[in-house]
Amino acid sequence: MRIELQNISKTFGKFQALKDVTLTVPSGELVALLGPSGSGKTTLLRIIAGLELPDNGSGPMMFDGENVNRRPISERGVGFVFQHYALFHHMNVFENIAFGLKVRPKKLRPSKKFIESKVNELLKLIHLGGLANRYPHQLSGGQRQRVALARALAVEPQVLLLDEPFGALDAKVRFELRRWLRRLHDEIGVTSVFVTHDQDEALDLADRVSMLNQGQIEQVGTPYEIFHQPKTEFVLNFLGNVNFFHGSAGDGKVVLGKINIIAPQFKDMPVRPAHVFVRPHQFDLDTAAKSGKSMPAKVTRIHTAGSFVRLELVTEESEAIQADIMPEKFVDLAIDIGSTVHVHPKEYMVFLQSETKLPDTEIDSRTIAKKNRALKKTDKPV
Amino acid sequence: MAVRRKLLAQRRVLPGFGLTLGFTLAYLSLIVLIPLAGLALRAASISSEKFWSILKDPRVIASFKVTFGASFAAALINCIFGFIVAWVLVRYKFPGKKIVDAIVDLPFAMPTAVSGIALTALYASTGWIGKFFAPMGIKIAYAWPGVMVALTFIGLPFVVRSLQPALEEIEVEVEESAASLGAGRMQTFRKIIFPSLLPSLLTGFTLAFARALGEYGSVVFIAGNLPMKTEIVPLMIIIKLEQYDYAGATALAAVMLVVSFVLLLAINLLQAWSRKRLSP
Amino acid sequence: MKTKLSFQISKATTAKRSKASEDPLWVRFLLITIALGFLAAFLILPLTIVFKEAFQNGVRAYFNAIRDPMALSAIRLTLLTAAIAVPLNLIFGVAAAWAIGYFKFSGRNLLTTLIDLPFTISPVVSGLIFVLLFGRRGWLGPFLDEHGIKIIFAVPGIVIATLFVTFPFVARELIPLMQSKGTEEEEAARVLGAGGWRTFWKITLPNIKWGLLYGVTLCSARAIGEFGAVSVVSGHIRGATNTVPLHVEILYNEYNLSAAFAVASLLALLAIVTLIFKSLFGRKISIVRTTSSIAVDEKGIL
Repeated sequence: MRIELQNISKTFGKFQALKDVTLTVPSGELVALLGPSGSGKTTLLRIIAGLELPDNGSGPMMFDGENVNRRPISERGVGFVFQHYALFHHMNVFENIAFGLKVRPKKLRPSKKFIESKVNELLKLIHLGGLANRYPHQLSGGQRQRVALARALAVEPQVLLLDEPFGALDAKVRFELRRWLRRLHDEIGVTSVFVTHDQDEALDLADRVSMLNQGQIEQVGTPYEIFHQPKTEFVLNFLGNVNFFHGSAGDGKVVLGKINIIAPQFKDMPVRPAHVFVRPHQFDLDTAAKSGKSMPAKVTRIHTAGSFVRLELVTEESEAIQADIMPEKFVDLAIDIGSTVHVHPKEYMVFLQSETKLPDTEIDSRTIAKKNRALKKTDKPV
Repeated sequence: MAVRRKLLAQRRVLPGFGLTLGFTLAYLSLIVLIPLAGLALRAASISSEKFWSILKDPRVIASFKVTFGASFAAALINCIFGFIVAWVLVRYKFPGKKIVDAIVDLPFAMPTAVSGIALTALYASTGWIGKFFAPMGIKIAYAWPGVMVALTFIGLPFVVRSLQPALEEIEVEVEESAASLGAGRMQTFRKIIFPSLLPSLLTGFTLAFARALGEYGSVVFIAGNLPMKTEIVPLMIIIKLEQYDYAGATALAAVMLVVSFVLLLAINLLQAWSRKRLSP
Repeated sequence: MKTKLSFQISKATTAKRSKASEDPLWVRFLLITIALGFLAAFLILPLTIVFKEAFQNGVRAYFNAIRDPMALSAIRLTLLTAAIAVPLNLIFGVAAAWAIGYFKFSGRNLLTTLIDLPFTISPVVSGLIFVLLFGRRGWLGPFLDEHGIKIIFAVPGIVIATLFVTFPFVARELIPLMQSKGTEEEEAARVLGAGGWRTFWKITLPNIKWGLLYGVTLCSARAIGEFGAVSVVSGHIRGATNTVPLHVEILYNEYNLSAAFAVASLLALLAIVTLIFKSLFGRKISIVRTTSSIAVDEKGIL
């Protein structure tokens, strides 16, 4: 089932959780709503479910073309899975899963036999075959979440909504369930939307990721698109590690400190300030300088445990840089803590700034880890 | 005691165990255990024939009927209305809620003699409430309904206070989940909310019932104390004492004690059950 | 595991309920009306009528009733009783809470249940057990007679009966409080070299002071208001063995209604003060309780 939301806004008292959000979820896809806390992703999910109502003046929300704004939650055909499972404590696994079927109005209620076979089918699907008589308090966190999922699926919902479904679980269980959910989705094919603040989870699991920040959608795209082709600084900063430089762009080049990079895309543009971003793996390192194209930096830490070697460097201006290089390259360079290397960005991303003031020639670079920063929205990137 | 010695031999970081435990046990024995033992001994010294003849006395039997019947009815009324009160206090917002929440404890804080005379004044046929029922021929004060009213008053906080924590424990998500699965409000209440409240409701009922059984002050004014009709067991005990019928008083008191203990046991079991149920 | 206590003003109400878990407006209206109606009939009206009847014959008659010598002597006796019973039960309560709250030993649950006993026994039975012990035909009757000591039908009996019925109040407040608060601070003090008493005065006491105050309030209210047990042991001798509640009874039985209610209104005022204390202190007590990791064993109410 296809979901379309147009111009949805939601305020709680003085706080605006969603500002004019428009989103489409194609039928059968597994879509992630990703963002930091407070970005509005859970609110959006709950609005789709009918647990919250959008503000007056919001646009329509359509399920397969039908406006469901006025429809109460029990009639929307959504399956909802909560972060803390919300299982019915006084009922066993079987009764939990059967609940949705048992509360149907008499006319639509399936026979006892049907319910039994359906529940058993689901139990097999979630690999909890022999545990029908157990009570929630006798199950592990991962098992409870699977029961919650089966319970939501029992009523054959048109859309499955999951609110940080693995948030309450251990890392290992989380990983396993992630894989399992993907396989389940591939098997069943129901349109699914899940909320997470964990970028690994979103990028790993989803067909499409919608990034939210402060109540607005920053970007929607496949995992590849949003990671490698971020449209805003926020998205770029949120996903993975990135080094940040104050520089300038224009007159056919991009300048960061001593580095001048030829950039034909800026040929006809006067010089303006710009934020230049380089991901750790986009740096090239050499022991010899490339004049005008590289900057010197001293190695402060070396992390060799991993599939690549991570170097922490400090520039002459005492700014920190992170560079990731292949182990073979590291061996070739034969460097150690205290050595000086020259870094050269192979690739980079530029976000132009709106002030016309030129920056100083000093480089102001920082490595920004996975922290969320509320950065100003900038002009179109290149 | 070997156990005591073993405990004292354990090294404890905090001091004062021996002192406080010793004092506690001594004080407890002096004030509570020995006097109760006195009652038990005295009761045991009554021959079982005498015991039964005391209990079979029609006036005594009538008083048991009044006490148990009215206490049960009162506890039941408290279950119904107490449930509504607890529900409203936990889930809804309305002006003056904090005051209402505080006033629920009034029966607990108010001296029983004061409640007794106040309720009587209220429910007598000339009282503010009693006068509505008088033309219908319904007598509240000085009749069985009056006893029930007084016992309802006394048990009111028990049901409400037992239910409140249980109501607060209910996660909103569970209700939302039921709604998302298609259940209507009534279905959600019947199948999800109420079953999780049942243990606390029963605990509250039992507490109210147990309290009502032994209640004296609030009842003895409104009851009218008509023999065979509105006498309660505590009153019978006093009557026998005034007649120096120590055996009679003891027998009745022993029965009341045994019932109290049984109910106390039931309450403990219920509380354990509700704790098990509530744990996620 | 979440632990919520009945003292807390419920969190569920202050959080906004979502559409799916909200009851329809008419249901809410109906239930609130029923609840308030029930409470008005059973709680507010009785309270009001006490004061209405008390002032039935005017303000002057009210004060006359209170200043009557018999009333004053009843007040004196009541206060004396409370002044003896409450401190004793306070010391006991603290000692019991220290032993039970801070240490593990076999029989701990049994002990807690035993302490609760007076709470579950009918007041009349509470009085009876002392008559059986100290009364004329009681175990110690002859002995006391010989030595001219009067307990039943005299002040000592009233004090002892009051001690019995108010026995658990302070302990019941403090035990769960100290169990949930934990011993970390005291242990830290000991490690730093503080002695036992020092630790108690400077560390424990400040932490439990609200629970203590509240327990004392309840204990006093009960001591002052106790009727059934005192009625059995007192002999109702005017001017000598009448407490305030008994005096109310006497006035009432003499059909001196407005005087009875006038004196009763003093007790009603005390009840109101107790309720106010509870709503003020309740919050502070629950804050201490909930800042711990051990689940609290709630043994009943108040």
